[in-house]
Formats: sequence, C-alpha cells, structure tokens
Amino acid sequence: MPKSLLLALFYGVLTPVALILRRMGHDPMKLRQWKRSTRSAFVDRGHRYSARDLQSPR
Amino acid sequence: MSDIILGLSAYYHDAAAVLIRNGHIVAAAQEERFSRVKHDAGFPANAARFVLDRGGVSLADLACVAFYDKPRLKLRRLIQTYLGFAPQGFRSFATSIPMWFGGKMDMQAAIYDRLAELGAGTPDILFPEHHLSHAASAFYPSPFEEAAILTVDGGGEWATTTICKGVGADITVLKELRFPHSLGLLYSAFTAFCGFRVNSGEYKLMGLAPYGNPDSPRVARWKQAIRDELVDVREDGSLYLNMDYFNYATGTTMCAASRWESLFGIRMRPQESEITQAYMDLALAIQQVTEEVVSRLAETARAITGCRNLVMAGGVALNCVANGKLLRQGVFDDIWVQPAAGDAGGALGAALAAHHIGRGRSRTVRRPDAMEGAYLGPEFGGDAVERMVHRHGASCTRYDDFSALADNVADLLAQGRVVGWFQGRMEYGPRALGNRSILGDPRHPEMQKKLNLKIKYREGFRPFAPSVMEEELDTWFDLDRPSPYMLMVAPVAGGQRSPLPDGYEAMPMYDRLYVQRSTIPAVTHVDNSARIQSVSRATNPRYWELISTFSRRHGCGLVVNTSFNVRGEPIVCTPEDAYACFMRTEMDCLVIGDHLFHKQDQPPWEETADWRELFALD
Repeated sequence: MPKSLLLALFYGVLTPVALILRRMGHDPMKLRQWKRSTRSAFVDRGHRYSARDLQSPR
Repeated sequence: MSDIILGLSAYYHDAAAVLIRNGHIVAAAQEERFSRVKHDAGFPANAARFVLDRGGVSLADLACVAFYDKPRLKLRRLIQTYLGFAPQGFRSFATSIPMWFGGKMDMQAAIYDRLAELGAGTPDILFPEHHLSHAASAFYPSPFEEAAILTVDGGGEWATTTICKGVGADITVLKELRFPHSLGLLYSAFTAFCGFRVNSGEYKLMGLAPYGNPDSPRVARWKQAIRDELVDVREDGSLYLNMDYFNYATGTTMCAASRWESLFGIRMRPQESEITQAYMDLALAIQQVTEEVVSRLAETARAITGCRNLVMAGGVALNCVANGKLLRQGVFDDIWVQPAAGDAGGALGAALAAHHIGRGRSRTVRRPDAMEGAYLGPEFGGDAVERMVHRHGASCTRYDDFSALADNVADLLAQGRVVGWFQGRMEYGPRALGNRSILGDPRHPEMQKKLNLKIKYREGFRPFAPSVMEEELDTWFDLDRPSPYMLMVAPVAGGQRSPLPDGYEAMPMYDRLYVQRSTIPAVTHVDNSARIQSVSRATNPRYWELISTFSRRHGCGLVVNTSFNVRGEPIVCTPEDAYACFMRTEMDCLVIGDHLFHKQDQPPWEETADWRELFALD
C-alpha cells in the first residue's frame, strides 16, 4: 500500500472525522475519564456466552 | 462420535496449537519450541502438525478449529483507537493497516491457507473473544465446579481485564475493562522503561523488584507518583491510565520516555546497561501497585460472583509474586492459575470454549486438575536418543534401572554438578517443570552464580526456583498447599532462614544476592521468598523419584530447577536441542531418558557459526 495513500487516508479522511466526532463528545478511548470521578471504570456486560458468540470473527 | 478440536493462537506473540478430544487435552505445544524462535508469533504449523500426529487425526477428523480471538473486532478497536487519538498515530496506522489489508482482514481464509499445508479438510473455524479464551483456559481445566474467573493481560480486542463466573460448562462475563486502560500494558511500560524487552522482560522486572528497598522514601514517593500521574485506580480495581504518558496506542514504543524521566527523575535505562538501585526501587514500586490492583480486582470478583474459589489467566496471572500474596490474603479459599496463562494458553482456552460453549458439551471436573501437570508436548523414545548419540559420536551410559540412575544423579547434584534433565513429554507454557530442566543443589553457596553466568548466560540478579517434593513442602516453605506450576511465591520457612547482616537493605545488589540467607541460598531470593514448584509422585513419577532420592541420600527434598535453555533460546524440545545446549554451556552432566552423559567423556563440540548469535537476547 503506497505511503501517499496511507497519508491521504489518515490525514485527509480519518483525522477530520475524528476531530468532528470528538467535538461532538465522542471519546472512544475514555480519555476524559482520568481522575474525573471515583466511579468504576468497568463496563458491565452480564452476558452468558453461547454458541452464537463464537461463530463470527467480528 | 469423538468431538476433536484444534485450538490455535497466532499472529501476536507465543503462537501455539492444542488438540482436545471430548474435552480432554491430547497435546499442546508452543510453536517456538519447534521453530527455535523465542515467542514465535507466526502460524503454528509445526505445533499443529505435532498435536494432530499425537492425536492420530487429520484435519478431516476435526469437529472444528478454534482461533483464540476475534480479528475483525480487533480491527474495529484499532479504528476507534485512531479516531480517539488522531492526528496522533500515523506511524502505527502506516504499519498496521497494510497488514490488515494484506491478509489479516480475512483471517478465516488466511487460516485455511495455512491449514492446507497440514492436509486435506476444511473444518469450521470458531472465534471466541480473546478474554473468553483466557477465561476458558483458566476455568475448564481447574478443579472447581464453580469459580470466579479473573483474566488480566495487555489486551485482546477491547477487553484488557474481565471478571467472569464459571458454573459447570457455562461462562458468564460480568465486567470488562477496555483498551487502552490496561494493567498488563502499565506493567509492560515499566518493563520497557527499566530496560527490559516487552513481552518477555516482565518476569525479569518482577524478579528485580525484591532488590528495591521497601523502607525507602523513594519507593513510597514513586508509588504515589504512579497513582497521581499514571494510573487512576478505582475502588473496585478498575482503572484508567493517563494516556499522555503512554505511546503504545498510537506509536511503536510503550511509554513517553521524556515525561517519565521528568516524573521519576531518572533516565530510561538502556538495555543491557548497569542496573542501579533506582531501577530496583522503581520495579518494587510498580510491583506493589500491581499487587494492590490485583487484590482489589479479586475482592470485586469475590463480591460479585459469591464464589469461594478463583481461577486466573492472562499474562498478568504469571506474576507469581502477586498470586502468592493474593493466596495469603485469603480473599478466596483456593486459587488455581492456568500454567500457560499467556497467549499460548489462549489456544487451549479457544478449543475448550469451542467444545463446551460452541458445541454445548458438558464438563467433568478432574482433580487435581485437567492439565496432566502441563506435560502435554512431544516425547522421544530411546531410539531417538540412540540416533542422536550416533550422529554426534556422543558417549553415554544407559541405565536399565531408573533407581540406579536416580542414585547416581542425586550424588552428582550433591557434588555441586549441574545436570540437564530431559524426560518424557515437554511442558506446555513458559515454565520448565522437570521434563526440560537444568538442575542443581539448592544448598550450594555458588550455585545461583554458576547457573546464571556459566550455564544460562543471563543476568546475574535473576533468581532460581525450587522443585520440592510435595511431602517436604512445609519443611522448606511457608505454603500450605501444592504449587505444581511454579505460579505461587511464598516465604522460605523460618527454620531454614539465617539472620541477615546489619545494613542488609543498603548493601549493593550483588553483595545482597550473595549473602547466605538460608540453608537453600540458590533458591532464596533477596527478600527470603521462593517461586515454588511442588512435585507430586502421581503427576511426574520420575522427577519425584529423583528428588526423593536426593532427599534420602543427601537430606534435601528439593532441587534448583531452571528451564533447559540459554538466554534468548526457547526451551529445548528434542534430544538434539538438549545435547547442543549441554555442549555449548558449562553444564556438567546430561540425562535424556535413561541415558547419562558426562561432559568430560564427550567428543569436542564443533560448530561453524557462533551459537551465541543464533538467539537474540530476550
């Protein structure tokens, strides 16, 4: 994959999308949670695994 | 009809293959043992070929193949990572995206391509989540019908820590901590900052920590700095990392070195340079913080599952110092840790998850556990040894009577000789447990130094582990239950310890190391702890008999056990590997099966290249 294409993808597409999303409050890495409260950092799942959970690589 | 499943881990580090039949483990091995490339991450073709051969099956006989993570979910996490950090992260993006488009995107096709080398057949491929693979590897082989499950590692797809509950054949995930907030990656960042290699040096950092001065104000200050600036630990053990200090999410290094240097006031240690007291204190600080987090996680697991027993896997579960402390805290009645707790063990967990969850098969609990002592790899008969002997013109004595061999080896150990010990099936997981081991007398004052510097060619500070016969466990150590996989650290028994000299904590590292702290100095670390392997007669009769003979003839029911390799080399797999390692080092004797080799009787060892260049330092 040529570097020019990677540069265009990263800075031309991904970065603007990331900046817009972030302005809208998107924080997929939970970077804003640092020392913000004392609440748990865990995600509650409560999920019993079944055969369906193993079928896809997604 | 038999339900036969091939489990695979690959493409990150420590690739491995496992074969299970009706939930019973037939064979398991890491690829590195065959390829001779330590932590080999490639497709485990050799290991898969071995486990299929061992099971006497072909691909066409398999009910399915189980891969140890969900690659497309990992890609989604990667894209979210770039969205979270852009415009930072181009270097990582430029490295990883071409790999995904170069084949990782369609992992199913990539696996079928490689499986085709092993024969005909296209079994279904299942993809359990990475942490489900760890959880399954911890729970299903354990001796518990019901248990809390704690998995902690660097990270899989999203999860870096999970708390699950296992009941019968079911696993329920209750809580999950997500990337980039990871206890494993925090520990790895300190590993890198202290000058060790990530994914292999964590064990060295753990071994360095006891050299830190626990009473030093610097350790207290640095622990506070870690809590104030690097990791925000919540009451339940969950945590957030301050990503301003870490590079791993978007770069190719672990930590932002200049920020760390400002925080701790010391330079990032160059690899292989001198280790000063500051790095020992820093190792102790992060070890103690890690222990506190593990302890809180365990308390949370106890509270939300209501289970009395805990099982663990994931790379952090190899931190046997933290495991030992957790056991002594008594949060759980008992703790069982998967011996292949790292990614290699994911292959086993994936296969077991496929069997019990994917195919809905019931589970039978086995005691002491279902791991067969982790002796799940290849074995070699007398013919293979004879062929190796013939090829090298080697000289050896073959014993028809094992007890005569054990008598002889016990006497050699008592004379201070270092003995390579190669028996039966190779161990699965990172530790040698007496089938691919180098042994010595733990009472010998010079044994620790000799093993590190003349046999293993590794850092002199690193401690060695004892293999103790179960019957003498409490004679030598303060541990009230077996520790068959070297995954529990406990104090040397008070009666075996010697008084420490005045000013011990302030002595330089090697002066402290060579103080005779106990009757078994070679396995007593500077803080009087030991990384214990207890040996049972039922699980490994030959190893047990050797140690028992050593006890009977020389009054010591334990030996020093270190893995049969030199620094940077994977543990030996074949008699050929063992003989080469024996001849390259200053090992005195070698036992392979019933054959005893003395160094002075061997023909000169000749190699065209320098063997030290064969193995990159780890």
